[in-house]
Amino acid sequence: MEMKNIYVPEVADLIKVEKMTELETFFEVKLPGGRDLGHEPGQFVQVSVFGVGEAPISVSSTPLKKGSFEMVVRRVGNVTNAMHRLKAGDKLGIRGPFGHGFNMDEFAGKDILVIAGGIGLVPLRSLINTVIAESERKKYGRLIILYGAKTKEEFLFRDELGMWTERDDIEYMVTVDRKTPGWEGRVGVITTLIPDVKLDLKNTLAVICGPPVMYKFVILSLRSKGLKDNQIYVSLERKMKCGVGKCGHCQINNIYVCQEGPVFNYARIEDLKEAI
Amino acid sequence: MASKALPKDKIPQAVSILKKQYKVIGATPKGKNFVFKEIEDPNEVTLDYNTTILPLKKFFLPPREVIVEFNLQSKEYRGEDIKVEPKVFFGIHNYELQAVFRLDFAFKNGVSDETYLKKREKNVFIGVSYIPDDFHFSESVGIPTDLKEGFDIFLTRYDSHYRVEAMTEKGREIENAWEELLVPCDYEGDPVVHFKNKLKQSVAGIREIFHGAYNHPIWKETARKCYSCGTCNLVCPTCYCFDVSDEVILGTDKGVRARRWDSCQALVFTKVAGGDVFREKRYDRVRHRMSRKFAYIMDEKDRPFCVGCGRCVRQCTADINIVDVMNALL
Repeated sequence: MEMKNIYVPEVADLIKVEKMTELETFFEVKLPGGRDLGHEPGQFVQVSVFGVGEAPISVSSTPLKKGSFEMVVRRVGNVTNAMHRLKAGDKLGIRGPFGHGFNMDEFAGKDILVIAGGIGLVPLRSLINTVIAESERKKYGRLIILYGAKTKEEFLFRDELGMWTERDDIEYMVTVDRKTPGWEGRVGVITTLIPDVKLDLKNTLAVICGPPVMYKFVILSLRSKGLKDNQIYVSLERKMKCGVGKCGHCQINNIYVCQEGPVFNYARIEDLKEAI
Repeated sequence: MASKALPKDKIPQAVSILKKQYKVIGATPKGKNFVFKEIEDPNEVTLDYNTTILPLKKFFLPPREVIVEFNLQSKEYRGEDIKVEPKVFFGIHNYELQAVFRLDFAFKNGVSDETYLKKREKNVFIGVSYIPDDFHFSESVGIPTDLKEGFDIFLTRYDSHYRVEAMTEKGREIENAWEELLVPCDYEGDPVVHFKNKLKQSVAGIREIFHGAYNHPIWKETARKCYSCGTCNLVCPTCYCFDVSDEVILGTDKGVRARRWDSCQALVFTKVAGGDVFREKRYDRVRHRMSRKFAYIMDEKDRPFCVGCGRCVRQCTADINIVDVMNALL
């Protein structure tokens, strides 16, 4: 029987590259023939840059978007720095999507509280844009988005943030850790937004993504509001090499983040000491 | 009961016969130690050895191996062609083959890894019994010396000969090919062997003990001795974690993506590009490795990923004995 080499990336076209902030750049990728990636919100792909290497990157677009998918990448390592040197028309390698994202069926009929810190917004935008799509919006209850960045200069998707502010069906609150000239909004870490949010505790699901240090405090805060552990979803970052549960790097105790995650129901992982 | 035996002085001839049809891999002396290698000279192979420096995994998961080739000019990625040659692994201890089966499970479970699995095709295993040294503890992890599971032929060692038992069709073919070398012998019963290195309790139930042992002082005590050198990972027959990196061949447009053995004992093993490390303390990493062996990963028969070969004890640069560590928990 012919087996498939699971490590061979598919070569795809970069159709749009746009600098978003000092550190983050937006990439739009078209797979051969404009085939859909077939991901669920929250999943990731392995991106290869020719001659440099491969890195796990979250998908930032909704599966409802057809013909291409989007990523926003912070330049922090070899591969992501090399990605930032690419331009529209260049080729790159894609494997995936991998792991498990958000099962949107579980969110149907629920109020959704999105809590995003920094580039944690990137994978959560995939969920947000699924919920707010015209054809889908009625399936879900309230959409509350809490977003925190270090400064206003680090805001991602600025056009979309503006749209969230304007739409009546989105409750959007934003804070910065540090005030810079021109910022008139709230200052403080993201947990300072949580006390102001009124929740229908029985019917709310919260999703969290941000820097590792953020989870513990946000979860404490949500618990003190009365949310149960199984009403909280987290998306976790880990080192990944293979994406297929072999190389060992992403393991949290006995589970492989690349297989079971990166999105987890918090009740599933709260007993795993290495998780949060 | 009458059975057949291979006299000790006929071993080189037995190997010569195998070499007509197969690549033969066996143990040969290297200094005071032994190594598995492809046998060129039938006289260099030995069936009388304690353990080799490295386990058989190097033949299926080489220390460095190309998994993908690429071309910078034509912008292509393609899989490496894997040649499958029929191989006989001659004179293999049972824990060694058990370890290969654990690796098979790891590379088949969930997503199948063809780069590994292809190399497991057309393998023939000829086992040999052994006398445990001060380090072996296989019996404690469910692998007594008389376990012959998975071998095509098993050779049981006596003073002047090896009793030959063919267990598969392939094994019977080889036994037939050896026909003129074999002599009749009486079955004298399996030799009685004793392990000096032992776990306080057998492997059943160990997994549960790990669940309550997360904050046991033994992790910190062991970490105080450990250098995080990763030798235990390299010599372990069931450690299979790997790193992946791209290499461009200088002066060409070609390159390869290669995987290399990696060590969960290294601080950088969990380090993400942004700088966070998820097992920062040395004792976190010591505990992780032990937990993987005895609790986190179990094969389809719920068997642990330690086969008691004792290599990590024999070769530890800090004299840490995995059996002592385990016994502190039991």
